Amino acid sequence: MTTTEDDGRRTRPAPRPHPDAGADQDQRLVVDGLEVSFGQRGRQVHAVRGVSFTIDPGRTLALVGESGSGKSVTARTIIGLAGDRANVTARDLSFGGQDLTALSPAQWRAVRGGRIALILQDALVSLDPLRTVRAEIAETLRTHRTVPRAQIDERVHSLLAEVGIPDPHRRARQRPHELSGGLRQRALIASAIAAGPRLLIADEPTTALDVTVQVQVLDLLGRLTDAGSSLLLISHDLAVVARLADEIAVMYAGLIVERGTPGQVLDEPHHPYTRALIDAVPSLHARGTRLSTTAATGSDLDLAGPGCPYAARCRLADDRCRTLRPALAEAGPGHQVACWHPVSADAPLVLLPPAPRRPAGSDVIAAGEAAAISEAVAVSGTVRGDSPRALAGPGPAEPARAGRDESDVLLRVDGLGKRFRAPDGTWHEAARDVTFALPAGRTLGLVGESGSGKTTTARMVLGALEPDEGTVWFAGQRWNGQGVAEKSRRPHRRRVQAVYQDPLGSFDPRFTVERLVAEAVAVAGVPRGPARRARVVDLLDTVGLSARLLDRRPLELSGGQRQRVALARAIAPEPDLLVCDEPVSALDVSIQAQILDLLADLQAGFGLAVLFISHDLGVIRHVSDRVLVMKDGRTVEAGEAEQVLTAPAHDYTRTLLASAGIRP
Amino acid sequence: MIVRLLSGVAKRLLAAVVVMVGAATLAFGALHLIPGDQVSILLGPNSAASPEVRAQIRSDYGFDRPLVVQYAQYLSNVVRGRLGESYQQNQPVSALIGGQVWPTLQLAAAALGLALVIAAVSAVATAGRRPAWRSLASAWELVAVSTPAFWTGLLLLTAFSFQLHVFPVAGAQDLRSLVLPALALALSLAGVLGQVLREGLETALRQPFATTARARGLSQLAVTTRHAFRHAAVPLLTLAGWLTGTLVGGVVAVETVFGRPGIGALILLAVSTKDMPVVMGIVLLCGLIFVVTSLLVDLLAVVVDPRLRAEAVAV
Ligand SMILES: Nc1ncnc2c1ncn2[C@@H]1O[C@H](COP(=O)(O)OP(=O)(O)OP(=O)(O)O)[C@@H](O)[C@H]1O
Ligand code: SF4
Ligand SMILES: [Mg+2]
Repeated sequence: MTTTEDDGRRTRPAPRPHPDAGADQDQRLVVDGLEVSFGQRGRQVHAVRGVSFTIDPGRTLALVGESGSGKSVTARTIIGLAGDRANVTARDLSFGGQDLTALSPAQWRAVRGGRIALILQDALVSLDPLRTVRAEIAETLRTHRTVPRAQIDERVHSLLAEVGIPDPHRRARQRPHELSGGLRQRALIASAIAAGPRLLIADEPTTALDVTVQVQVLDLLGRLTDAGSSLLLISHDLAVVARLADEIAVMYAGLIVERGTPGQVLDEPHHPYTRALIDAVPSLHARGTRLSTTAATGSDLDLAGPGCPYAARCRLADDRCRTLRPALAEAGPGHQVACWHPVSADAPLVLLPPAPRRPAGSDVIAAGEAAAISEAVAVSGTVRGDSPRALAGPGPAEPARAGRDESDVLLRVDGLGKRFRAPDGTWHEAARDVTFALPAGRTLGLVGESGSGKTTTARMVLGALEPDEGTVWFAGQRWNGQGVAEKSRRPHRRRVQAVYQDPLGSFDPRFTVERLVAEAVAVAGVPRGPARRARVVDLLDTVGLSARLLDRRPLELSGGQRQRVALARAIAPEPDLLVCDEPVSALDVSIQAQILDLLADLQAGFGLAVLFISHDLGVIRHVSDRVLVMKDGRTVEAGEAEQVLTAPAHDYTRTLLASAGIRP
Repeated sequence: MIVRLLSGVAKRLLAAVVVMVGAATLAFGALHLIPGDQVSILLGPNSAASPEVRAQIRSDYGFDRPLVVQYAQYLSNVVRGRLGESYQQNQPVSALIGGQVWPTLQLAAAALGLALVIAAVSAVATAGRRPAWRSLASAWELVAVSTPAFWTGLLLLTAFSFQLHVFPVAGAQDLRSLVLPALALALSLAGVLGQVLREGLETALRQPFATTARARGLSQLAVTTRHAFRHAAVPLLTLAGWLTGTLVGGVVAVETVFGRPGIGALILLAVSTKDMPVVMGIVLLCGLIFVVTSLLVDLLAVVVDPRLRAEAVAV
């Protein structure tokens, strides 16, 4: 159980001696044979299929897996919030000997917050935006009568101090939107731990945060487990998992497919899917290589079959895989894998050329993307006749890019400046003298920490915010600047489209996918009726979504599917410029990889210019031709991507590279 | 900050003044747009006044002066609270309205309050619950919305006054006589409000913060009332304020059905006898009610949603 690697993983003592078995029993989570399904319009969605694990006091189990693999459903089931429509069965689902499948509503209320707590992703929406931080934390204290009424305020302040929030008295009076992302997440954690729960469930607790802030929040969670709480950590970020977990369980299609210590799972993965997941981390790949192993997302697959759920995507699949499901079997001490052909640990990591298009009728892969798919699955040299071949040359997008005329500038940004009034009355310079040019069909990566002015710049490029100084030129016209009216932009509006981090915020939750995309299609002038519907299906196909999703609503889609819908909407009016503001930051790596690949395909197919904003240098490096590094509203470095990222000239760029784990 | 706050308040007051001037102009326009001679209208159809008397009246009331002068005179009177004399009842309009307005305000306030309570109870009880409960609630709301208040009033009267003798048939002596008319008016309001509120509650309950609150150990009901309700309250308030403006029509009908004193009877009488000063006074009253409720709604919205504070100041 000990990992001693120096790459940020916490060194843990060997399995702790537990004082006595009774106390141990007291707070151990046992999940055995958990099944969760949702009845959905006559069709059952089997989200969790026979998941088993235990978490001992003070230990951390990490659940990783792509979007839709059932991580969140597992987590919510443990706290009894899987929803009215969920059917839950388990051989054993208990915490500290208390059967969680047989609790009355009143008993559940005592367990929730009191013994088991849940921490969700972004505290901006996970804390009630209308209430103060104090009210939110006090609610937990009051519900569980943790401290006498008179001491509640005092306890709120001490909790805030405990989670590392400076000036707790002032912060307690503020509302979530008045706090930075990191402080907000700490306040959320404070409200979760207020009643002293023994088990914390953290569902993507750091996904919405900057790298530097992420580290602090993770350290806080680590401290809590050191104090004896158990942690069920859900994350798509393998670096996060490596830092905290005692044990990692990899989920695929509602099943645990591999389980072991971080050393075993991350360094010697045996399951082809785990291998693909690790390979999909963008920072390990240069521009032009494809990241995703396949376009189909887990929830799109027909997984009810008798065989291995991964068979449709697996390079090693044979007849046995397709007919018989492998059970979890020992691959080493404490290391379990569910696979008929486990990849041997020392096999070289090899990338294969694009797979042939799958036969028509197989809906495993969305047609629009199938042609461009290359499978990046690791293959052991010892397996059957498949001889390993190295991926030859750049990806499909590259040749077009090389041949493009450099002088064809689509977007020119000239000395942009914008100031905002801070709450205390002082002026804050959000952007200052930002200058760059973006030729048609190319990608400019804008990178920097939160607050560095990336989004402000994007909003000025979009014409959503008037700059105080400078001009934005689009297609040779004055597009934004002092005195440019919205009216003059309107005829060209459709040529500039945007994609944001969380499409949920911009989608009406009541609309179906069809209606959401049809809205954008209507703007592009396609008349109502069969033509519009056909275009919607066509667009969904282009972004790799099946027409079966047409009548789903945003909340019924996984994060990756939502972002695909957002992309479908963005390309509907056939724009020339796409502004992407952290488009993949909320997604797990394998989905991130698919979306980045999709973006590359769209760019190549439509000749799109892309302004790509991210705090993640790995992502930026993967997509960008040129890179602009921003800090405190200013450009600190700009140049060709490879040059900036391999030979950074500015200290700040070097710091960013270091904290992203990329060594120049 | 304080300067911006003051300028925000000033803007709102200015808007209120504009609305009131608009209402006054509308009233003045109505007087001069109706066909026929002002003096004949004033005297009524059966008057046998001689031409000399008519000329005298014409100059007394200033009908012979230019329209602009009359308009200016009218506005300055309104500002000083002088609404003129009723043509038919030989009483100042302000006294007439003042004498009748309280029972009406009582009825309107009771109806609105009752509607909010009914809407809140039915929406909170059914939001995010089983589909069967929701469709039941939606069905009754639909019926309530589409039934006119006077019809509901007649039904209530038949059932509770004529058959069961629980409530008085007519009058406005005590609180008991307020119950049925208020209920008649409230039901259709409650239908609309309930629908909007349930929708707002369900949107809020789907947000992650609602899950967080449940994960803290709160019951579904507690999450609905303590968290979701505030989020749904702003659209509810806006709608309620807007509905108050449209309440007048219902009030007239219900007051007539229940034989209650109030503005309703005054309006009917004034309109049927072309008692223009009274009609104009009532138009002004409606303007005033509109202005006061929108100010109230804006104020309450800011109290409910502190995030609106910055916007409220900026608008
Ligand atoms: N309330 C629900 N009704 C119907 N299906 C649901 C519901 N909640 C989840 N699902 C389905 O269950 C499956 C697992 O979803 P889950 O949210 O657990 O995925 P996840 O692993 O957490 O993904 P992500 O990384 O995107 O959060 C998905 O196919 C999803 O569509
Ligand atoms: S080799 Fe067979 S069993 Fe193993 S993951 Fe691939 S398909 Fe599944
Ligand atoms: Mg999830």
